[in-house]
Amino acid sequence: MSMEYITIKELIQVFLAYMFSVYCVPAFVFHKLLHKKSLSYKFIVYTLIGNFYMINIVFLIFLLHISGKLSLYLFTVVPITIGWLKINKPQIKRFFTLFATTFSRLFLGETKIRTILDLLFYQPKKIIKTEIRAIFSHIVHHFIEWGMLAGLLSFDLWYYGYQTVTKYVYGTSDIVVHHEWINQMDEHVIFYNGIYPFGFHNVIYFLHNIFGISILSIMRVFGVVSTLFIYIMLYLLLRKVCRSRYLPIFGVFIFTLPHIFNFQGTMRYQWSLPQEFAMVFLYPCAYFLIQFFERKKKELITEKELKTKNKLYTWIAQYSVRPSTRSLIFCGMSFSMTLAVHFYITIIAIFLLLAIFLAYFPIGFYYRYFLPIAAAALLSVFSAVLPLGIGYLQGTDMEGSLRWALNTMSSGSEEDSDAETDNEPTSDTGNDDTKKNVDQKSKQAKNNQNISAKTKSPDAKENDSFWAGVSRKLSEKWESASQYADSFFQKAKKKVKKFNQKAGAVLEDVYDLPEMIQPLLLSLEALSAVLILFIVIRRLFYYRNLLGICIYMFFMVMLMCAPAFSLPAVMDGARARLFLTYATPLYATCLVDIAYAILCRPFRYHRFTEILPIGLTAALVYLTITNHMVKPLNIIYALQLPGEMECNYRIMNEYPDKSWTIVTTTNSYALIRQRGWLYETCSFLEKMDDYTKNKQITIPSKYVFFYIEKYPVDYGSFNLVTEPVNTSEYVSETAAMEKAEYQGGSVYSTMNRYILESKLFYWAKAFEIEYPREFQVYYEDDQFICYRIIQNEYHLYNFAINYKYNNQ
Amino acid sequence: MTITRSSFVVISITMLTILFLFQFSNLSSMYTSRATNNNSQQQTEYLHANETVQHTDLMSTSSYTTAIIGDDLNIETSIAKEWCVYVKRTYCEYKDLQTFLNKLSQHCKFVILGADAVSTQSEIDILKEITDLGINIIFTSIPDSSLIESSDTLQQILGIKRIISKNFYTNGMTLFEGFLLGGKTTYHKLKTHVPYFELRSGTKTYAVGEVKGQKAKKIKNEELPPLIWRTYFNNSFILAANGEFFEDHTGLGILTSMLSETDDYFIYPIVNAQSVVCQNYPYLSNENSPEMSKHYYHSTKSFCENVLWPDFAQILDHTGDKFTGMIAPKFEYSHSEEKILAESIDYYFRQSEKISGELGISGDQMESKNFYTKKLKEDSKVLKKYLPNYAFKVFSPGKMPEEIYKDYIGKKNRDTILSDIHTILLSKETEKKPILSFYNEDILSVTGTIDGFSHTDEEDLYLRSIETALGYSAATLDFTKVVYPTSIQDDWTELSRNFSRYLSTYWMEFRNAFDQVTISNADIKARRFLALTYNSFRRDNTITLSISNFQNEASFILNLSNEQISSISGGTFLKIEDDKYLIAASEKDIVIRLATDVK
Repeated sequence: MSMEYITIKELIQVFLAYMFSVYCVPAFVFHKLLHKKSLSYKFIVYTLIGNFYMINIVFLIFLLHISGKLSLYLFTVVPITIGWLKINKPQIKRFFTLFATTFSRLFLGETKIRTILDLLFYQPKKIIKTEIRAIFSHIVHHFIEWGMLAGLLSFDLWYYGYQTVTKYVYGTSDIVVHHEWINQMDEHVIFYNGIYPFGFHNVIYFLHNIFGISILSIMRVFGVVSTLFIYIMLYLLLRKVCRSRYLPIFGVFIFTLPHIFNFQGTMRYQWSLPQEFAMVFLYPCAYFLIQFFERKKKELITEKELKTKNKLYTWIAQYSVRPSTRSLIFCGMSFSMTLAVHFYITIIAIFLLLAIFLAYFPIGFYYRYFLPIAAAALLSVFSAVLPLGIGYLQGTDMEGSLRWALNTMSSGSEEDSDAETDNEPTSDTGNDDTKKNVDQKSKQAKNNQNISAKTKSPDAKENDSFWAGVSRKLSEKWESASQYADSFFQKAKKKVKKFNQKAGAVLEDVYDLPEMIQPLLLSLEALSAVLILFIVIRRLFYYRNLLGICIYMFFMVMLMCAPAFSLPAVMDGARARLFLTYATPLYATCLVDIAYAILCRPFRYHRFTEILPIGLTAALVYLTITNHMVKPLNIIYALQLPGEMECNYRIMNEYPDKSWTIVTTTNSYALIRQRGWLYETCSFLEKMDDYTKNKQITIPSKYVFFYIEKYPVDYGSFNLVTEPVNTSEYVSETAAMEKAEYQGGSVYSTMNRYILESKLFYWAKAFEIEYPREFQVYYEDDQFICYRIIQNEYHLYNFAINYKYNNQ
Repeated sequence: MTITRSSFVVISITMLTILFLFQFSNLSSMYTSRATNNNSQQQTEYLHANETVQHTDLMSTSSYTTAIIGDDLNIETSIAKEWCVYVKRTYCEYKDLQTFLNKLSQHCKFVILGADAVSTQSEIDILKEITDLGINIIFTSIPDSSLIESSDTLQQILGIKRIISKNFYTNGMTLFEGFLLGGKTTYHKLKTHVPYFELRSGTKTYAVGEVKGQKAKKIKNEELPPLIWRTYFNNSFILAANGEFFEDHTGLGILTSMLSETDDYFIYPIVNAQSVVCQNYPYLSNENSPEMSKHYYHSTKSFCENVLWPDFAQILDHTGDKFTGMIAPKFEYSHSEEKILAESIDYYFRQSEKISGELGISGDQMESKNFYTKKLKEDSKVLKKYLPNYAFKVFSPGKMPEEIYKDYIGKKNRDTILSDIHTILLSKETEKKPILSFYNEDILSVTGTIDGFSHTDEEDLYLRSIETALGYSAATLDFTKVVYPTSIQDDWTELSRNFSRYLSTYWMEFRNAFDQVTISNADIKARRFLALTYNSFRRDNTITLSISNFQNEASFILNLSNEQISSISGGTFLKIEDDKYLIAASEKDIVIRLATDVK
């Protein structure tokens, strides 16, 4: 079975397992509560509940020190069953009574088997029938929507799945670290390297243990699955804020198809990483906060109305939890999940929520709004930090990267001040500006004084006529006001232009179309102004929502450009770029939507008007394709050769666990650790250096595999995913003759790796001569070769031989 | 309740019918039995010696592939020559290495030599020269330790890093999996004096000696005294046996295994026959009855028919083995008044026929040498009388000297029970004789390989070796000790239990892999084996085997190295153990396709 086929199979498996966990199971439990809600609402709620449960149940079993498959099954199945019984009240007792009665009547000849079968399958048949009908009905009624969305998501599936399907290997080195942490969870150790938001790891652990899919399989493809969810969340948020039904697809299109963004803005979606997984929960925060404001407003109006009619208590009694509170709970839930999965997303979530909160100014400050929001924020932070806190109290130190991040944040001001001093030209420029401003103001003050001095003397001369004086005074006032307004406008225009220029220079790292940067910034400013105007005029929440997106976009721009404006950098540019990239389609769609809202208002947003967004998206798709503007496939870091991953798979499938050892670099360590052993190339070769006949290297396992890169990997470099992985030249005797480094963090970096692989290659050639029957090629491609030797476990081979290049 | 007359008639007829139906099969088999009549059966076409490959066909001075260095009288040399016949390798025998080098054939691939062949520096230099030419060397025994110690070259050739002890008494021996058939085993009782070497890297060890107190002395497994190993020097493989493996036919299997360790595949022909032979059973008289009655509460005749036979038949039925009985008409020909019993003849021939067995004639008697001739004459007279239409094909002389039976065996004109003999089954003790050889142009001589009532470490090693080399075994059970017990160990309960457990444990693997046949069938298979020649070559993952002088069937063992057979045409295959396959050829051209072995 080819690796491509295996990868596709695993992708389907993981997708189904994840969908089952985050959609089907919550749907099974909560469908009665949500059956009247829209599909998009159900999807987002189920996804949040599913993920929240998975993350926290794993935390729970680990912090109670009862981790393992059994507890996981127990803590999953029992609460699900109880929840289902509580919510759906299936009247099991009644069912069994009926069943027993019917069954006993069967023996009396009063009923037929068919009746019993009907009784048994009535409910399942009904549910399946209804669901199928609902799905078909939904597809028929939303055919264009589904079709377009499916088309775009299929492209994403191909785009982000291409690397893992064709190259098989991990695309970035971080994944290996996370893989190892999940391996440790299998050995009942959470927070292996210290306290870290383990939400992502918990989800992988959950899927691995519940569905029996190997961690390696999940880690290779989970990034693609979570990316699809990221795209869907973008679509769902747009559905929430946009007036048009079809413009959200335009947003998905912007993020999917055209070559607008720098490749680094989307490259990480190919890989299974916590930060990217946490992005799934970013937009649901906004979705539910917006929904909270909407619901709360409705509730307050209803409350007011019913209070006057003295029917308030009847209305309150129908809710155990009010809809607005529910929204806030889900908002808090998604926020806590960002915190539980990756802190960076929490920072972005704070910006997003703050942006929406600001857009709802001053409503948000009204205590009926503010207090629940504050409480939700506290609770969500508490729920996310609690497991980490317990872990910390149990004696686990903080993980290195977390400590670094916290230090950076706490000492951020110092570094920023350092940055300021370092960036002297920038701060000088800033100081110059300030100086100029100060100068201009003082000059203006002087002018004003002069003007008033000048005007004073004619006043004294012409104070005999009152009306003349009044009119003169008025005209003077108008003149000065208009002058002030003019200068203010000029200054603002100048400042905006300057801001745009500065930001534009930075944003060239984000967008691959430099000509669109200035229009984008200008439109952002203009749209914000227009929206504020609309909010003042029309007071609709729709405009507030769009303003919230605009503010969020502005925050993201500032996050990216912070160093350029001498502002403290919350995160480095590379990460900020990701979030700005993700915010852009959101903003762009809002921009188009406001145009749609204005243009189509006369038509009352009739279904007919939806032709515009559909046409726009379709036309842009066509133009993108015909103008060859489709974004090219992304990059991959050279960490491993595809052959190595294929060998890992083959060995794991073909040989009993723990009966084999691979001799290779450290890259495969986390991947195979649960199934076999790894002997490092460095240790292997080092032990053979300065060969004497007393040297002895034995590897105590029946099967030993030697991974040799004929073209050693140019470690850490990157290239297009469509091209072969970056490598050095073919191994050479010259390199084998050189002295290799065996210690240190860069032993497997390009040059030393080349020497090591050359040495190992020539060792293999020499060893093959002595053991031609036993030392066999197990796998070979153009770049990689794997030798296998089967050992007599009672009498191991001595692998130390004189291969000519170990006698420096 | 009364029974009417008509009902009575119906019930009676029904009962009679049932009785008839039950008895019919027995009666019919009695009347149609050919147990005592094999003259009218279709005569089997036996291959004659001149139709088979013999030493003379393989000896060559110009195009030999194997050179055997050593004295002609040396047992190691004769074993090597016998092995060449079995694996159909052309060979040439030389007294010393210098002569061999002078007459070196370009086809030569192997040199087999013993310790005596290397005693001087010049001979060591020749060895080095041989390795330069890429000719593999097999040491059937290790040269003198002092010579090894004094010569770095010889140490390098043999892959020896250093000599730990020149004379070390091992505490047993471990034979590793994959060398001889039968898997890994440790022989605690195979203790011997051998030089104790430490081997360099690049060697592969197949057998090691055990060291007493290994753990206490902190000796690693890899540091145990090597007994059989392979190393690579210059361009050649060097295979060495450090011990007395070539003192008997044990060397055959070791040679085969050594040869297979030098190539990525090795295919060689085998006999593919496993037999169980009862020496001196069936017993047709009633001698020693008083003693037997004391012990078993049965007369000898009754014991043999009512205890021995059912027990034995059941054991064979359980393991699927075929019965070959060597009839002992009597044991005492001087004074015993007991006669050869006609009813016993009838009983055993019928029983044997029922289990598709075979009956031959034994040469044993309990008295002095002088009575062997009398025995032959008396047996011939009585058996000819009772079995006029039965020709004995198999003869097991037992302790009868060759000079006695040679005048009768195969001599039609002497009209004795030995006139029609085709197969002589020699006992294992006559191990100087080849395992399979022609006694004369018509008669094949085969030897027993194991004592069915005994299983020692030495016997196990011997059996594994013969099974590896030939896929042949003949377990011989001498029933004399049952009829004339001398100690408590001769008690049938003990003996039958031993035999039964050996068959179903130690020997089971071989019985599962190879055909279980009577000696006559083994004879036919052996003749076919001796007759064939073969040629094989490998291209990529396909091995092509061509058999010449193919006679209906042929069997081979294919040794692979971490590969497996994916398909075969022209025959069938059976996995014996990892990397070892039995190939049963049904056509003379066989194509075997291989795939990487997956564990």
